Amino acid sequence: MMDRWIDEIAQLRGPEPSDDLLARIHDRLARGEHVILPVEDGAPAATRWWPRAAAAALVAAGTALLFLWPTAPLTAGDTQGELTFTPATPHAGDTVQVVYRAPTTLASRDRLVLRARYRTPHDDSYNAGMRQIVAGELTPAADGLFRTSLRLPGPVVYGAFAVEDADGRIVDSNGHRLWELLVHDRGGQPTFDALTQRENDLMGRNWEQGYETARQVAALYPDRIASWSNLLFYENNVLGESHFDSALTAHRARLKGFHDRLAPRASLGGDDLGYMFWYARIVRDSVRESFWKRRLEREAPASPLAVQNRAIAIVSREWKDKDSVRALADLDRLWDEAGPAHGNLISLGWRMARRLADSAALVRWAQHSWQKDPRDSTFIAEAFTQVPALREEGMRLLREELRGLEARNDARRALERTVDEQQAVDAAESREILVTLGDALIASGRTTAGLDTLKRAVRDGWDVALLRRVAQIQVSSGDTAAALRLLGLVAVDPETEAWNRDSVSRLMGRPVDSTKWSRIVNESGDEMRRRLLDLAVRRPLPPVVRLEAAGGRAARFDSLARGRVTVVAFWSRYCAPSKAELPALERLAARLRRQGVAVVTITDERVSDDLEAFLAAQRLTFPVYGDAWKEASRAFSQWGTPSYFVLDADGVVRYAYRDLARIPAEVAALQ
Amino acid sequence: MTPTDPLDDAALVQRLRSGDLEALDALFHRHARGLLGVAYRLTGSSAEAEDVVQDLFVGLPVALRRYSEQGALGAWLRTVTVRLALDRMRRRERRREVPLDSMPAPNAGASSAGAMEARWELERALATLPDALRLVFMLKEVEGYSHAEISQLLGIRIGTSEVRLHRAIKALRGVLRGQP
Repeated sequence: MMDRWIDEIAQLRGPEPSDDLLARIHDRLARGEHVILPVEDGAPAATRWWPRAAAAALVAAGTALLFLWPTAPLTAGDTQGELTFTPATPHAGDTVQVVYRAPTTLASRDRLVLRARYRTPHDDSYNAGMRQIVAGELTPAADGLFRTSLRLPGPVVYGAFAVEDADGRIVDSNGHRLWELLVHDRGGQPTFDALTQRENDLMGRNWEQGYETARQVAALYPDRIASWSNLLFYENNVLGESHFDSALTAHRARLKGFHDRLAPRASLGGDDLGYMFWYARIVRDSVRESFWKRRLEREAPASPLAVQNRAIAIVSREWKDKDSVRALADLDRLWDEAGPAHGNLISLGWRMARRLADSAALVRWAQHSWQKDPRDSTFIAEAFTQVPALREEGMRLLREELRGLEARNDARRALERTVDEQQAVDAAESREILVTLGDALIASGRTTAGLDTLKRAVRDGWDVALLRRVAQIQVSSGDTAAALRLLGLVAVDPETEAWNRDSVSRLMGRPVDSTKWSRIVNESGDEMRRRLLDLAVRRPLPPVVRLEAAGGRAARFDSLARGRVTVVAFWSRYCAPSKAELPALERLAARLRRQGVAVVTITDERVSDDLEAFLAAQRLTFPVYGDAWKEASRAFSQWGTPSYFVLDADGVVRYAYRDLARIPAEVAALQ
Repeated sequence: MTPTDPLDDAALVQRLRSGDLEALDALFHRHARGLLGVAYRLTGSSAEAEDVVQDLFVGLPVALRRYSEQGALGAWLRTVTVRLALDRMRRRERRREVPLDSMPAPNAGASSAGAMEARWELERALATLPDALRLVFMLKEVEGYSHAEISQLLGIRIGTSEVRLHRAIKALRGVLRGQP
């Protein structure tokens, strides 16, 4: 018989909706936000976390989700050379000789630039906040090879490298793989820190390589609890939860081994305590999790995970007693004790200060945030502009950000990116900042300046959410003519479905003459194409790219496109983020095929019965080709799945990115 | 017409499809509280539950175009909420974050001090369960999904789901009876 308390649990109600929950939903809708809901039957939600996480990381990096290739008509083969390091397994602080065999496009230069991203043991995952430097100048010798030497700075454990011309307009990034140096120990083994930083660098660039690195760490450093805790993360999120389940037994046995060995020790460092707590937590051993949580908070109360737990305890109490003032004071005290030990302390303190609209606290927690990452300015500036007492300071910060984006700054330019590509990324970021600035100017009573700033923000680029947001500000400020033009652009974006086009004009808040609206929509189609073509690049492919079709026969890529606009998708069923997007790709492919667009999907394995069975089980009907000879990966300079490309009818790559939602608009611009 | 009249839901869906955002408000008032409960029971965090429900309603106008009207809207919304909540829980794992309400508050819905205490005990007991067990327990016993459906949602085997349910019930019994 079922226990009565199970029925009682079923009766448990959740929290009451906040008073402003519906208003916040409308606010996001008004800003034109898109949330793709996981509605596919049978599609496990397990892998869907990545696209948004990666998107957030990319946005943080200021890439605006676009990877733009050089404007010069170069194929991948033209820009890929060969870089070698001696010694290839350096020790910390070593001097390394660098030799570069340049491709034809770079071979005639009298000097080339070797750029690097160096990592030290405490650098974070993802490359959003990382700085790039010039590691050396490569000069040609009589044998035609370029040479230089570099000395690894003392604390550096990992370096990623690319070569470019002196102007930064042609970049050889080894097909986006970059070249790498890992610091090795005296036994010739890559150090734990070097491998960990390699993982961090690969985060968001190539998950499968990150997983391989995590496996290597566990194999080389099995006595470190961090090795296994980290490997378990990849097993869960790259291989999927069904694999995770099968690995859990071994991880639990390993946890027990570590526990039996470490628990009797009276003195352990904060890292060991923290990793034991986290490992127990993710293998779902609640008894050991509680044991290590207690020890962590007692013996290393200022360590990162202990600080996170303590901050959460403060916020949890506030949730119950609603005493936000006391909670903020406690978070302040925790900061005084522990400083920037864990990012969550800063985000919770910042959130509490915002909730109280306490301007002194906002300034204080903004300073804490800057102490952890001096580049975190835009969200702080935006929050400041919403508090009257801080609005002027917020606008000053926004202008400072804009000035920073106008100047060339190679330190924040990713290694794979040319100067032109960086300019496009900076322009997209500037547009967002200009909108926030315009909004703030209007709020401060400087309406004319604000409306001018908004117009400047949306005069080019193609960001529908931004267009919509500006239109709404313009409507509420009385600039209805400008707003109507922007709403026309929103209406013609292919993602704005036909049924919704006319309702876009309702955002004006008053009836719009239907003849006038039709004329605006017609004109907007041309305007959309102009803007999108401004963002396009030209990157021809090599004349022959072979793919493996069903039955193992070879197919030429150009014969598949046959003079049509073509969408190319690279995917892998062994990459969870890529696999998660397959249902959406299936829907998009069906829609595009109806429009006469060729769709070619390329997977990283050979065509086989097993692959066919997978496609049938997933109900995928788009055409699939195997990159059996790796010619496609080289031709597209593609590394890491999923990645998508749009080609014009001449077979030239015009757009390359990792966001499915942008494809329909770019296709429309090329048709 | 009752607050959950499916015919009324269908009319609201139709209105929302044609761009009428007032229909979204009506759907929110009708379903949000229940969906918050679903999200809260899974994530163990009221803040995350609100985020889940926010995401759901922001995505609803577009997603409804793909909604087949063969089933009840409420059940469909619950399934999407479950998926969104699971999705969010996986994301926070990478960031090594734990839910903010790891010690849930007594629920305001209880009618008396005794009932409040009993519910507090239940919520505390649930909070002691590891995520893997709590999820299966909630999905099966509270939300009414079958083991086959849970295996799809969580990407685990049906047998694993059954074993986790058994272990969850056993653990809850232990906590509620004051056993270690």
